[in-house]
Order: sequence, then C-alpha cells, then structure tokens
Amino acid sequence: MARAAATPVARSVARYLIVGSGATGVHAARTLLDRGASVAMVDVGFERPGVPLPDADFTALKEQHDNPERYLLGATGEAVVYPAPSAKPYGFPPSKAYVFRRPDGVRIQERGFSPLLSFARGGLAEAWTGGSYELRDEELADFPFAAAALRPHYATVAHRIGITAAADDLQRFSPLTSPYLEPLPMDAHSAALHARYDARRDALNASGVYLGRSRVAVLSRDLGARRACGELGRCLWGCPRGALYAPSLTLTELLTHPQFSYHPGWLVRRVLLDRATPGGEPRAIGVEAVPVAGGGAVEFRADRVILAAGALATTQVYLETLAAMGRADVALPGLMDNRHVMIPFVSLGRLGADVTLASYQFHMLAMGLDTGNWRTDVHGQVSTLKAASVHPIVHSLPFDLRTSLRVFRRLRAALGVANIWLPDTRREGNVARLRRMSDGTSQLLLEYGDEDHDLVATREAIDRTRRALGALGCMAPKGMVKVLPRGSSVHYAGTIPMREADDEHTTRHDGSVRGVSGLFIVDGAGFPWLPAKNLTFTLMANATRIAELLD
Amino acid sequence: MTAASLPARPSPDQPRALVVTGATGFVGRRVVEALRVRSAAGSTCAVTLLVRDPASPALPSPLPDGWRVVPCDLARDDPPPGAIARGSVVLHLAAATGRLAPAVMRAVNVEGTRRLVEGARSAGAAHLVFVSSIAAGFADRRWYHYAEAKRDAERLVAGSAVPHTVVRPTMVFGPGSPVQEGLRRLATGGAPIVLGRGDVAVQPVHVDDLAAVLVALASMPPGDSTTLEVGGRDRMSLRALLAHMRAASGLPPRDPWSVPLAAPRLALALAERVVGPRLPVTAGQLASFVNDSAAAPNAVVQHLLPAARTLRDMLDGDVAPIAGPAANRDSAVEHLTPADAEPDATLAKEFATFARYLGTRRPSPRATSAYVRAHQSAAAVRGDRFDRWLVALARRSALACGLADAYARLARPYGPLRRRLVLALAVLESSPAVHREYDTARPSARPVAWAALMTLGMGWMLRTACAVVVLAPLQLAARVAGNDATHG
Repeated sequence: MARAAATPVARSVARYLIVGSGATGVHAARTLLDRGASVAMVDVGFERPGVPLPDADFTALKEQHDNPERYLLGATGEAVVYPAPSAKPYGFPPSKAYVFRRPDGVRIQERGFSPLLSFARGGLAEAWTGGSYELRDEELADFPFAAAALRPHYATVAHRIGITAAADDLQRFSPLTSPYLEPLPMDAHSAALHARYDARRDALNASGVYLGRSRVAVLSRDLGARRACGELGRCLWGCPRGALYAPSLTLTELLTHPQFSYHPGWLVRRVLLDRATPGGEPRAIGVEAVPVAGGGAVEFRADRVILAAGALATTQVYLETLAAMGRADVALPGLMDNRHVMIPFVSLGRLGADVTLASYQFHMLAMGLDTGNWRTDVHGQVSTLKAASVHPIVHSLPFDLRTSLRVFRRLRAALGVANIWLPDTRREGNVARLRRMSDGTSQLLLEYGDEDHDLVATREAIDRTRRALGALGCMAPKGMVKVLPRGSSVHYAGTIPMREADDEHTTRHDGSVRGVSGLFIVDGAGFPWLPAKNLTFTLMANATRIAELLD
Repeated sequence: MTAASLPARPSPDQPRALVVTGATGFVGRRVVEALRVRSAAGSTCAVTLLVRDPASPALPSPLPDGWRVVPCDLARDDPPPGAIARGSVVLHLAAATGRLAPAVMRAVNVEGTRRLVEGARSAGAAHLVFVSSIAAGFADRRWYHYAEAKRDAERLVAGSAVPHTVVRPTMVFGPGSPVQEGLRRLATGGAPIVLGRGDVAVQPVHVDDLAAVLVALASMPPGDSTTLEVGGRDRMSLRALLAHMRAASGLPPRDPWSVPLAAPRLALALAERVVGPRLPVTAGQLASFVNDSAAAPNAVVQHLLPAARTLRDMLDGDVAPIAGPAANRDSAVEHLTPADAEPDATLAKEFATFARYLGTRRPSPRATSAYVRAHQSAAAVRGDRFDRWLVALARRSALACGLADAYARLARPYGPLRRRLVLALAVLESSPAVHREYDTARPSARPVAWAALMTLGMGWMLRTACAVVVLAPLQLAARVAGNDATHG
C-alpha cells in the first residue's frame, strides 16, 4: 500500500481490534475475552479524575473538601448553569468534564441536531443515569434476528453490571427476563407518588398510564469490588463507590486480563483496508489512528475490526473509510435520536416536608404511556429532587432570585421532573455525511429535520404526562416544560443499520458491514429502529450478542 | 422696551478683559471658539479661562495672545486672587448638568456661582453674564434639582451688587448636543415614543447662535433686561419637533407612542432617595416633558440674534462638528459603565452585596475568591447599557439589588445581572459554612408552608411592581441614551 511507507505500522495487536471503550466496546471485549480471544482496544480514553472523600455524603463533601467551590463549580465557574432560554435544570459538574472533552481536530457540524460525543474511558455512559430496560419482542421486529436471540445477552449484561428492578406494572412495556437485583428503598417523595399511583391505578391504567420502579444499573448489594449504593447523594458528580454502573468499571476489569491490550491516546481516523484480492471485497486489516497529543498517524493491525465508538464517531470512521476508497460523497440516511422532554412538577402533598439529601439521587420511578401502538409508546422516568446543584432550578423559577430561593426551599421536598422520550424512526432526510474542508480535513455533518407528526406526538405526550402527574397530585406548569433539542437525549442510532436486505451501507445480523469483510459494527449505528426507552442496556446486550457470533 | 432704549451694538475691537467659566463644556467651547475667531480678527481683549482641568483637550491650543488659563474648581475654591481683573466681564457658563446628586448640583451650580459672584464683586467686575437654563423658569420643577439650583443661582446673581445679565437658553442643539441626540433617539426608534402628551412648546436654539449672543452680551454694558430667554427661530410642540427629527432622518412618519409621565416621575423621585443619582434619568429631567420650554420674546435677543437658525438648519447639521470629546457627555453614564477588566476589589464588594441580598452576611474569603475567579464566565454576556445600569444599581445595596433583580427577571432574564447573581448563588450553595441556607429544604407544617408561599408571592408582586414603576422608565431612558455602538 502506498500509505504504508508514510505510516509506520505500530504492531499487529490482536485478533480483534475494538475502537472505543464505551458501553458496547467493553461488553464486546468482555465476551470475546471470555471466549479466549485476544482483544486490543484503541481509544482516546480521557480519564476520570480521582474521587475525593469517597465515604462522604453530599453535605459532608461540601464541609470536608478542601475547596468545594472549585470541586463543584470548576476553577473558573465552568459548571455554573447560567440562565438561558435552553438552560436545563442541571449541569454536568467539572468531575464529569472528561466525559465530554473532545480531542483537537474532531469537528462536527449540525443542522437541527445537537449531539454530545464522548472520548472518555467508558464513553457517554459515564454520565448516564443508569436506566436499563429490556425491549419487548415486538420492539425488536425490525432487527434481523429473533428477539429470543437477544434475551440471554440481556441476562449476561445484567449479571455483569447489576441492575435493580421490581416486577410491577412496567412489565407490559419492558419484560424482566434477566437476573435483577432488589430495588433500592424509595425516597419519601417517590414513595408518596407510587402510593398515589397505587390508589388510582385503575383510572390511570384506563388512560394508558403505567407507573413502576425504574430499572437502574445501580447496586443494591456489593458486586465484586463494587460496593452497594451508600446513599451519598453524589450520583451526578460520580459515584465514589462504583455502585452506579459505568463502562469504565468494566474497562478496569478488562485491564487485568492477559489477553487484553488497551491503547489509550489514539483517535481512530479510518479503517485500513486490504484491497489486494482481485474482484473480491476489501478486507479490514486494522485502523489508522493519530495520537491525541499530536503527531503522525500510526496503524494498528488486527484480523477483525469492531467499531464501538458510539453511533456518531463510528459513522465518522466509516465515512472516512469510504472516502479513502474514493467515495467521499456518501450520505448515510436514518440518523435517529429520541425526542426528550423535561416536565418539572410540584407534588402539592409534599409541601413543607423535609428532604434527605443523602440518598440515591437519580430516578426511582418510571412510566409508560400506552398509545395503542407499540411503535409510538412513550417512556418516562420520574426523578424527585434530592441532592442537587440548586442554582439552575432556582433561577428557572419565575421570581427574583431571592424570592425564588425562598420559594424553592419551601417547595424543595415537593419538586421533581418527569423526563419523557418518544421513539424515532429512520428517515431519508436525516443524514450524516462528511464535509471536506479546504485544509484537507473533514467534518461530520449531521442534518436532522422534524416532521409535523413528531411535533403532534410530542405535544400529545406532554399533555398526557401532565394529566398523569395531575392524577398523582402534582402540578406541572406548562410554562416550565422543556422540549430539548434533537440530539440531547444522547440515544444516537440508525446510520448503518442491521437489516436482512442486502443493501449498501448496512450491516448483517452479526454486525458485519456489507461490502467490507472483517469489519463489524456493534454500537447504535447499527440499530434499525429506536424505541422510546433508554437504549444502553440493549446496546450492551447486542454488542455481547455479536461478540458471541464472531469467528 | 422700545428700539430707542436698546444699547448700541458693541464695537468688535472694544478692549475688555473677559473671564470665562465652563470653557470646556458644550456651549463653552463654542463661545471660546467665537472669541478665538474674534481674537484672530484683531481683538485685543484679554481672556481668562477659569477651568477645573487646565489640561483639558477642549481648550484652544495654542492659546491666542493675551489669553490665559487659570485652574479653579468653583465647587470647592474661590476664584484665585487676580483671576478676575477689575472692570472685566465675567461670562459664567460652568454648570453641573445631567444626573448628579442634589448635593453636587448645589455645590457647583449654587455654591460655585456664589463664589464667582463674590469674586466678581470683590474684584470690581463690570458685568456678570450668567448662563442659566430655561428650566429655572419651569412651573413644575418637582424633583428637578438642576432647575432648582439654577433658580437659586439666578437669585444669588440678581441679589448681588455686580451688574449682571441672566441668560436662559432653551434646548441647545448642535453637533454633540446631548439633548438633541436623546430626542433623535426617541424620534427615530422602531416604535417612536414621546414622554407625556407631547404638547409642550419647544424652541431649540443652535449652540453657535447662543454663543454669538453670549459673546455679544459680554461685549456690551449690562442693559435693563436682566433675564433673557434665548431660543431659536422655530417654535413648535414637542410632538411636532419629534416628527421633524424623524423626517430629517429619512424615516417614514409614524405617530409616536405617548408614555404617561406622572407615575414614573414619582417613582424615580422615590428611587433616587434610595439609590442616589445613579439612575439613567432623573425625575427632574423628565420635567422638560411637562413644561413649556419656549423662550419669551425679548427685544435684546431679537437685536443680538436677528436671524437665528431654523430647525431645518439644525437638523441638516450644516455646522462643522466640534473637535475634541463630546461636550457635556453624561459623565455618570461613563462612570457606570464597567470596564472590561473589573478590579478584584470591585468584584469582591459586588459579591458581598449580592451575598447579602441572597441571605449571607459575610461570605468567606474563599467563596469571594471563587466568585472573583469565575466572574469572567458570568461576564461572558456583556449586555447593553441598560444591563450595565442594572448591575451598577444592584451593586449599591442589597435593597437596590432586589429592585434590579426583580426587574431583570422580567426584562433581562438572561442578562449580565442575572448571570452574576446566579454565579453568586452557585458559589454560596457550594460554600461550606453557608450552603445549608441554600441547598436544604425548609420544612414546616403544611399550612405554614402555604402561608409562607403566599407571603413570598405577595412580597414578590410588591417588589416587582416597585421595580417596574421605577425601572421601566429607566429602560426607556436607556433606549433614549442609546447603545454602545453610538456612545462608545
């Protein structure tokens, strides 16, 4: 190859080379290693900073940390959530900055789409809230494999990461076929909402509203080196006990495996192809990567290349690979992300109550809205307010800041937010493509447009959720509802979908990319449809499934 | 008065010693320019410029022969001995205008005049020409400290033994005229507005016409008329003036929206008691919109200014702009405009005030330094002039901060003030000693919680109502005063 002269071969690293250490990468690696294979992982791999005072709860942290202002807000206040039309009622703290840090040279242009990317060890799920839901059989209808083929892998992943769940009304939306842990005890506010639901179950069910315990990848008992939830109230800032699952925990385990080699500090640009076979399809032989710290490109060689960089980064690597084959103008249709709506509410019955800040911080309840068609069902998670950075909430109240603060403290025990998601489907107009820049580099260009029925469905879902909250004794002011920009649910999928049909720019049921041998996609880029419910559990299960199939 | 009693036209080369105060002001600079032209034409009149800042770039350089500059701040000091020669004419233009504390207004305009009058008397000056304001004759001078001060100063002049003439100019137009610029903004906005009903009479005079009258008066003996009101040629309603100004800017005619004045004037007056003269417009200044400010016809003025410029002349701007800094630039505005890099001490003080407003009396030094360090992230949105006024107002006291914040929540929810306050809140909720005042619930019996919420709601409504009454006119005034693009 002409490039080989300019690009020194780093090494022939392993049989399998996985790009990315996120939720899909680490579980594919785990399965491959369990099968006795050798695995190399090439990753940018920004590292999580150390966790201070691991046994202190949220309040003690503020009082015992040697500089809590800096820890919570950042050296220059970068974690302060300022008032803005699009401000969310929370922000990512400095301790999570590594999750969203981008290497130099990664550039994305978006139209109608506001994506988050992660180049951290563990990827975007380092900043998730742990929602883990099995898909129903029908929701896997568009996938080119039987639903039953996925169930064992849900079980494998649930066993690995620890997911709490309860057998309740949500089973009609999300079956419980895996080994689950006992749920954590509910906080008082969640318990009050649940009790109210129990009292009004018939009426709510009749209107298609179902409530139950959210399924969360958090430990209610110790699992290996990870300790059960200690109710520290520090989930958002990074669980110091490893109770809330993050893929970096699995990566840490992998690092001790003799057959596993981890290569952090490399940004993979494209897949290297061997086109030597006359008439045959090109074969993936490795990847070309550039050092994040700067410097010349290097090749990593392997027999199989598995793209697990996350749907968007994988899409970019795939497009760059095509461009190197002389096909720079490919546009991949079908980009998807769930519509995400935040609906803040006040539980009037909780006025004057107290709040225990030292408790599990994220959602404990989930809801399903039955629309009569499984393709359009709406999924929700209900979070009550416990430990939090309060200034983003206070400044969103409609009063002057001093009044808002006082109102907030009176209402604090009554505040919560219902996050709802709507499903998304692949559409021709929503595309990912490369845009060549004049300096020879390229950008990933994402274009997304909502259709009218998206907006109608969103409005209906908001109205139904607000009505359901009303039936639960809550007031959900319409003015406080936030419809978040497309891309902010961070459930990206659909650009190189798995399907039966032998179409270009698709993958087969085993994740293999059509037209290139030895190249596999195990992340969301391969999803042919996007249900409303949180995707990560299914991503991990599917990556595990594919890893079982690889030869 | 008949023509027979008119004084003879002064001879241009009549030798006199002339003392001028306020030479660097908007009118003063044109007077000095007229004198300089006269000097260049051969006048041997000795001119003494009594100025606060002898290094002012507004002073002529080099000084013509026979001219001198004598430093003197009349607000504090008597004129130095020898500054006023016996038999000289004193042209007193120095004045404090714009938004200043009543005490400053009085110190400059009344006490300064008292010192000058006494200096003129003891030096044996031949004639004191005192430039007052049409506002001194306003019927409604409520809260108009400037008008009151000018009126008191007129009385001092009138009661002195020095022969004198009091000149009351109307609105003075011309290049760099603050009042002309303010009215132009009112007239040319997307939605033009007029404060009050707009039916008061106005008669703008061009600054060079006024300067000509003053130079002429200084060159002749005091006459019988001791109070002369000087206006331009055209007299009209304020509404008509705004329409002319709009037309002169090439904009299609549009009926201005009338903004009622009574309540805002009262509110401004009350607010000034709390926050002092920092507001962008004072209750008193609004008096110009409820009083006629046309000049009473006077034969002397008619004689000295037979062909005053028309409004059209003034709006066409056919006079060359004056070099140097804009005259009478509202110094208070400059003072309120935060510099890009604000000193740490200022920010620390700001944080202390904001913390007090948010319920913390003494924030820790580390919290303060966190605020100062993070300030750049809050200051990323710079905002416009009104935003900076709000910040300046909020810095004054916790009470003022509440007023500014209540209004900012409505009018500038994403502006610099809210950002700074949110930063202060974020720091306080993270700060060890005080975080419980911010990040915990305030439990109580449910009826108590309801009652507390009701009380908070009522307090908020009251605060917001006060804020709207006081600050809505300010926002309007900010629009009048313009934005950075034009005022730097």
